[in-house]
Amino acid sequence: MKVYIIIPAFNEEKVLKNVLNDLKIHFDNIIVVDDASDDTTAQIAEQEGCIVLHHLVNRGQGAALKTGIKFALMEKADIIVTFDADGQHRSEDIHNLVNPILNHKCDITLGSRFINPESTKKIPTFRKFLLKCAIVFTRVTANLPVTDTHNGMRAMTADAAKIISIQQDRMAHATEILEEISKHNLTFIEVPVLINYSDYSLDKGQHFGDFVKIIFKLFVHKLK
Amino acid sequence: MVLKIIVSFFVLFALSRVYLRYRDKSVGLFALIFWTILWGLVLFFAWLPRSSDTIARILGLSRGVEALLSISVVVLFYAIFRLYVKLEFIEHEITSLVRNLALKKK
Repeated sequence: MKVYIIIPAFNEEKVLKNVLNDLKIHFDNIIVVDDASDDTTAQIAEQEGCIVLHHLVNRGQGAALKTGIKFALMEKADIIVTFDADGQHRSEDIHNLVNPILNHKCDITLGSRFINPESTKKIPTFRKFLLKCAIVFTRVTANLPVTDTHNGMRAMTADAAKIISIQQDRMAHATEILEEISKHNLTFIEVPVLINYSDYSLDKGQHFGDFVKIIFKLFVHKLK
Repeated sequence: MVLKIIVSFFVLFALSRVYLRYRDKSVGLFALIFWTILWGLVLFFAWLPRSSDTIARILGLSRGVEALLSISVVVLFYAIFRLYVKLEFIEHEITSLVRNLALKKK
């Protein structure tokens, strides 16, 4: 089974080498989509022997993910895993995501920090509040009983990847993927994952303004 | 009276811009006709403000100016929405182009 890891990356030179070294222990097919970084992100990924795709101009994480997924499908991937570049995710958790798919239990596995008690303790309070609001919002819009709506760790079969249509270029893609799962009745399982919170990743992560933008983007998308 | 003259000159200026854009093919015939009618209406109501009272009566408002302002606000909101949708479409086109270039290099 060919497993491809897709890592959308923008200006992650500080942490990317460690992230890739961690992944390379377990996986061979790592695709880094450099979303027009203006630091050495792309060079680091190339030095680490990854497949690097370059966006000439910055288009957003959703767009970068879609580029990576499209390439993985061209390479006849069987399973596609999405993974963040900021060091928040652990490579060991990927096995937990992939195993249910290998055992034909579902089309997609979604990482959830709220199932893992160890992870829950470390979530900053305001971030936890925003994530909980996002969960309520997603339950209304996607009618999906998930516990974590904005976790970048997920795995899917190639067939599921072909069905899911990501139109949102920026952060709203996370909610959009869940809406696509619901729309196409894809089967999914949530898997506990540990999120490593650092000052770096918290600074890079989403803030209140981002959540407002996501809701606005999704609302306008539905009006079109 | 001074205001009417100022508005008239501005309308003539705006119409000249529209015509020049039509002549250099930046906008089509439909846009030329649309903007000519729109600026024509601005000129019309500037010189005959009382004619807007008829519109006001139909809308249940007391003054013609209120009617014109209300209609303008609604039209502007719709125009902004259409522009936003157009902008989103262009953004998607750019993303498609960037993606195709990224994949082509491989």
